[in-house]
Amino acid sequence: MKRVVRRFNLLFIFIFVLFTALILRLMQLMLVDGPMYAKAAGQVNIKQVSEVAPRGWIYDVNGVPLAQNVPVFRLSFLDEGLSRDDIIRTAIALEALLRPLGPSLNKGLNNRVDILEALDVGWRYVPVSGDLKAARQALRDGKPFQDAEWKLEEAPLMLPRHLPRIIAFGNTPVDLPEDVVFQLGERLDDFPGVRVVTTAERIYPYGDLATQVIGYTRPVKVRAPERIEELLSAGYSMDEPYGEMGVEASYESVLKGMPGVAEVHVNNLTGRQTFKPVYAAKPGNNIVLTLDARFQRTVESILKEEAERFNAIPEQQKAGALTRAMAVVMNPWNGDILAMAKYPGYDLNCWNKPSTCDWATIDQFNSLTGGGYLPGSTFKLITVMFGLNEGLIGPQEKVLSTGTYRIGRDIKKDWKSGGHGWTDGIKAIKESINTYMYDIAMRLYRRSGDYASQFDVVRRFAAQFGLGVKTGIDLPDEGTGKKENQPLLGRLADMMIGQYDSYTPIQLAQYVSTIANGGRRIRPHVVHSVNLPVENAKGPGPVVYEIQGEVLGHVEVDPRWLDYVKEGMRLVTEPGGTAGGTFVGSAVKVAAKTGTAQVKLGVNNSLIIGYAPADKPEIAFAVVVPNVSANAEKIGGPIAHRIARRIIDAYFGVTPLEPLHPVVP
Amino acid sequence: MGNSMNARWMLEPWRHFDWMTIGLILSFAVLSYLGISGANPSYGEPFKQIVWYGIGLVLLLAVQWLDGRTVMQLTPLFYGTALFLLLVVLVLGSSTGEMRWLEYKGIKLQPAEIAKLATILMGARWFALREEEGRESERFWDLWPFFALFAVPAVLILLEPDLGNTIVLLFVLMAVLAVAARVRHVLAVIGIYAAGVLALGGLYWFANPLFFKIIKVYQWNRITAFLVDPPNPSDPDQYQIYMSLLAIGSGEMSGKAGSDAYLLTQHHWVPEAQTDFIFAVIAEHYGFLGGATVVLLYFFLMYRLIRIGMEVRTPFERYVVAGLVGMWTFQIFENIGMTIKLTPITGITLPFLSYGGSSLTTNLFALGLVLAFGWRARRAPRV
Repeated sequence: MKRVVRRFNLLFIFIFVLFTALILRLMQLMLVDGPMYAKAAGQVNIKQVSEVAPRGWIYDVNGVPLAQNVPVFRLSFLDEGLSRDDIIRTAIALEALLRPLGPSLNKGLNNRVDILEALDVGWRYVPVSGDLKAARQALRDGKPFQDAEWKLEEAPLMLPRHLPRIIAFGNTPVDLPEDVVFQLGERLDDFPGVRVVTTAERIYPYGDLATQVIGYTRPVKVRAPERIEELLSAGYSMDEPYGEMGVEASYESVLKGMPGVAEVHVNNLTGRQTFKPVYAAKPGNNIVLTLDARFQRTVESILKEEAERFNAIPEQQKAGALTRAMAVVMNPWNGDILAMAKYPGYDLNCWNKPSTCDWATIDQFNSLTGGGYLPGSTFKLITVMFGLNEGLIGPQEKVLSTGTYRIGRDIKKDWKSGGHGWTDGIKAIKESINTYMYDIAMRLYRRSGDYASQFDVVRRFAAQFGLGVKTGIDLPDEGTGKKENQPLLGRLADMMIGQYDSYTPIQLAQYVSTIANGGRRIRPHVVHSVNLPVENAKGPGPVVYEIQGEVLGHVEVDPRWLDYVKEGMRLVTEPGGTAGGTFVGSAVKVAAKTGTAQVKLGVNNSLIIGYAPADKPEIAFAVVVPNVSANAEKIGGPIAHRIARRIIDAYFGVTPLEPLHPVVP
Repeated sequence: MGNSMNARWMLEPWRHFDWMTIGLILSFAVLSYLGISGANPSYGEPFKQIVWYGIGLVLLLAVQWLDGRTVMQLTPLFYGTALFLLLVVLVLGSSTGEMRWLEYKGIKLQPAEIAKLATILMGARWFALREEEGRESERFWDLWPFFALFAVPAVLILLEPDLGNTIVLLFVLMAVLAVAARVRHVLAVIGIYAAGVLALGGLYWFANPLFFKIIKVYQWNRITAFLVDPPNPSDPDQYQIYMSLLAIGSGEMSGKAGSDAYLLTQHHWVPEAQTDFIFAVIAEHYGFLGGATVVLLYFFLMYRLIRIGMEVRTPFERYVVAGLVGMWTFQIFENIGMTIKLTPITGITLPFLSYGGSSLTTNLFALGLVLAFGWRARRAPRV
């Protein structure tokens, strides 16, 4: 008996050891590591889905919406753990719903084979025999579906199962008309897994209005792969719009808002997924532009009419049609851009319906901030101020213009054969006299004994006014024009008459504003304020912050010389001035400087910069029309001058502003 | 007179009956119900389990009138039936691949569960008969019929294939030997087991293809999955242990039942939660307190059984108790161990808790035998 007890005791000790091991391991797992496992367990069944926030609207300064969201009804599908039969039933029901709508509404999604693929549930139809493509095309063309011709097979999932899919044909989602949405809402039980979701489509009610300023958006997924990675890690989703140009791009972070988060809870047995919003998306802020839509539209029409008038002249056609005409109007005191237009514009809605637009004719480039145009004589204001400020010439000092000016072996000319006679700086501006400018170049050369180094001296002076540097405008991808690199004495003389470096229209506008406001370089801006969106409100909502005119620098020029060139500019529009003819009878006194920059023989850039009223400037402007035929201008008159005159007449109420016509309802 | 005799006979078992063990079993019934409900199964399993508990308890009480001698006499028949059922499963299974169940009108029978008990009884009977005949086994090889009695069902179960229950039989054999045989014989068997493990190891290292003919690749992956640290949920072999650890670990001290925390076992994240992984359900719901309670209850149960084993008077009864204690201890350790990544994952159920009629009724029947031996031993004090 003792042996039995001993043996059972041995067994018992063995059991004790094993059970102690279990308890110790349990303590480690549940008490020591427990919190870690608890954290991990809380996340195992929850998948997060982000909901895109409604994008902020863009308004003009009077509260007219220029970019807005319209609700579109789309079908979303979430596999809530449906059986294969349920899924097929859904596909058939959707086919019955979409097919009668016709191709304009169902966007080509009219058969259950494509629909099943759009649902992306891991099943697809393949033909029992024959070519998939051909069989599919036949269905799309209206052939009815025959059960005997198709079989189901497993297909890879395009999206993780927990993400709701927007039902789309390729990349084009099906937009449902409201009456269909209503019908569908009453019998949603027939469509397992389907929900009607309201999403926003970006529309630009006035089409081609202010294309360069407003810009547009594109979905994240159309970008380059590395960029997509970047945006996804910044919290964007694949279908979310992202600003591509204009304010849509430069104020992306303001317009975007904060995405909302919803959780999808997954049951692992039934696969049932339930949708649970965690926090709602916070809509993006609205933006109010400094533009007045009607004035902007008027400026655009003026550019268009003048360009088309010129393109009708045979001489212009011989030199090639005008492809661009640009105008910038800004407030010289606070930098508000009042109009910023380029001919030709294009309908911004093209991005949402690419097939309806002729992309070959669309010129997306924002040449207003990114181009480079020879400024011609508009640069002479710099030359005169530079000469005076450097003491190269005195305000009363006169230079004799004989029509020709010899620099080395080059003979440079005035535009008027025979010359302008004795000329001081004011007259040189009024009549745009090259000789005076050449003489300053020669004096600069003689004083320094070197010309190669003097290009940058002049550039530094011009940069105070914004030429050759970024103006700081709140639009993306601003350029600085184009710098030449031909260090010859003759080219230094060319520089003085604006035939050397090239500038952007916005630089010219900043430059003339700096003169108009007495020497403050102001940052131009197209955004007036950022506003808080208010639900169901008609306007842009209360202001969050306003963009203030920012003084980027004060020019180091004696105020006397600023007044000196201003006097010259005032005379430009007087009889005998280079724009005298154009401004006869102008309601307001305009100060200006014209420019005709030769780009090749017989082809010029036609320019004018200025401000009005001359004694108390309200607006500063720059008009640039590249590639104008010199002969056409003899017939049609100086195009840029005419554009400027018409803009000023429109701004000061001499001629009416154009009404706005929405292109999308 | 006859009437009073009859009444005495009816009442006799309960005077010395081990009510404490019945209390333990009722606790397990409650825990089993909670565990199975916690796994949220689809076909009313918690209720079915209670029905099985009812049937099993009736069986447990019914066998109280069987004495050890009668059981010993019926053992060969029982053993033969069990082997027959194993063969039937094997023959039917050969056409469909794997098979561990016999099904008749929706009632599933797992012959391996019955065979384990039958083998224990048969092995105990063999030792008991030798002892009664006074033929103590001096030489190790004298034990060969005992080994053969275990080997036949072990091979049949292995062929099903059910590696887990085969290993259970190997441990049961050890437990019976530990009480019945000489120390050197026990050590010899341990040596043979060690040699077997070494031989498999040698095959693995030096004749890998041959090794994987004996052990199937999927079995090997499943067995070794518990060595991976941390387990990778995207590997199908490690998914179950990963989820089990997450469920048990997240139970922390007092469990997640009653809180608004998301219960993984409730939502079917742990496969086989109501059967093999029922411990994960209890530990997640009721925390360390619940899990440790289960382990302690088992410990008490084993303690009671060992006490009975020490008290019983015949060798047969003693060896049966030893075999059953060995079987249950091993199953408990292996099953709980696999849910907490202490032992490899095998398809061994947790006695008295896992959902399943065959194993529950067989276990309750076996426990009934032990209790029947017990009250008889207590009725007549040892001389």
